[in-house]
Amino acid sequence: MIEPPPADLTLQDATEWTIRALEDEGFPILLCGRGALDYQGEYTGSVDIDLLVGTDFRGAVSVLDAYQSRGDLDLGMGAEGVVRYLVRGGRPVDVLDVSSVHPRLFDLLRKRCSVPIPLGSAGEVRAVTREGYCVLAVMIGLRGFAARKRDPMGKVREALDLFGERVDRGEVATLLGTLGVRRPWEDLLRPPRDRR
Amino acid sequence: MVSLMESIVMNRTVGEVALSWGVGPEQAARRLRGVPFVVLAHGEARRGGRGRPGRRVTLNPRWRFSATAGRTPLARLLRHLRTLDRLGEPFAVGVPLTSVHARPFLHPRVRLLAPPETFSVWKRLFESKLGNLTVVVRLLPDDARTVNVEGLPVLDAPWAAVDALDEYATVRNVNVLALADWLAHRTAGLAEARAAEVGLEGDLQRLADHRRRGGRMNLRAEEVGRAHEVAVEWSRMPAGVRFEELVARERGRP
Repeated sequence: MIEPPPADLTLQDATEWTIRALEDEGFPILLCGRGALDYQGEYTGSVDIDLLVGTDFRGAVSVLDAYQSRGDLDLGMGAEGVVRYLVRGGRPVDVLDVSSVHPRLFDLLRKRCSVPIPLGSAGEVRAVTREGYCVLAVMIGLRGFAARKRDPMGKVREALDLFGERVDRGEVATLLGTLGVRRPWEDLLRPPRDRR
Repeated sequence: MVSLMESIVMNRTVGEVALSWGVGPEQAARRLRGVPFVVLAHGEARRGGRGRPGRRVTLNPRWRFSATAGRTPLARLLRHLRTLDRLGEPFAVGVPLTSVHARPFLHPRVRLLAPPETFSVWKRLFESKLGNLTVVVRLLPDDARTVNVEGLPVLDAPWAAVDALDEYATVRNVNVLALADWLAHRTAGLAEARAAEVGLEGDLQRLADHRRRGGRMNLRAEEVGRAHEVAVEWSRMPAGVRFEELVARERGRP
């Protein structure tokens, strides 16, 4: 186990600390969500930090549970495949499992649409790119926790409104194709009432 | 306290500014030297006057925020704004700084609101597009109120609700609408006059009370529903994250 998180910590400190706690046990992680894009020149509006765990999600959760027992973390309200931790009771870090969405999704994101970014005491951490964000959000909208929402692809459309001009849409289509998504992905994005 | 921007417009002397700040001229000059767009210029000697002519507060004609913002434009902008606030300059910040009323988030456009007397100076100095971040300057209405949060004069909650609605009309970031929803529920009825001035009263009323029907609406029901979902998600998160913590992400950029 690593040392307890600092007493008066920021969201950035909480992110670095959680990443170190997971990497200390050898779990591959990816910084994802809008927070990951804010580190790459966007201003997208993330209010928390999302971490994607590559293998053995239950193992990762059990590691963090040990820190919870030590009093370093509290458990927040998550969703299916998402566990929210509140580092030192206040800074929200979500840990996500996408193995049930697609078994190859994490590897694809890590190998083909992520970049290393320097993250203080956590060192270099891989973060999903804009294309990676779109692939992940579409897949979660198709088969993940967002699939049961009223508008499963709402987040993808919002993201495209914010930074769509800087997204390589062809690359997103190719990546989704390798995950077995055959329909043109922009068709999937139509709001529910516009779909036939 | 006299406005620094107005002093620039009026070409006041350092002595006049010092008097209004209640400090000596040297102290005032020291403070003014900390403002990057201010130049202390020696005016022309008055006919028949004695000694050195008084230094005047003038605008550095070459200074533009966009030219000095570097790789961390938001952090630099906030630094300038805090300096101006400490000097008693009247202005306000809107979205995304107003997100401190709910759960802080970043947004690709920063709204500054300046009073009519100094609006043109603000616009000239700060309105810019810096990569993916845009700074826009809007008019600060006379009766707008602010609260000081993190060293910045942030529009107070009722005004911030209308500001967020206004911004959503330009950049459709659901977080901005969620902020308007969050604030509308907590300040129902307090900003309707302001919302009416900008033609958004129907939207504000709908956000404050989702059962409401009729009236002029710019928002679709789906947008209102989605924004409310996001605001409910925020309410499940603990408060306490500061806006400044998010700005730190600029420093991590490769």
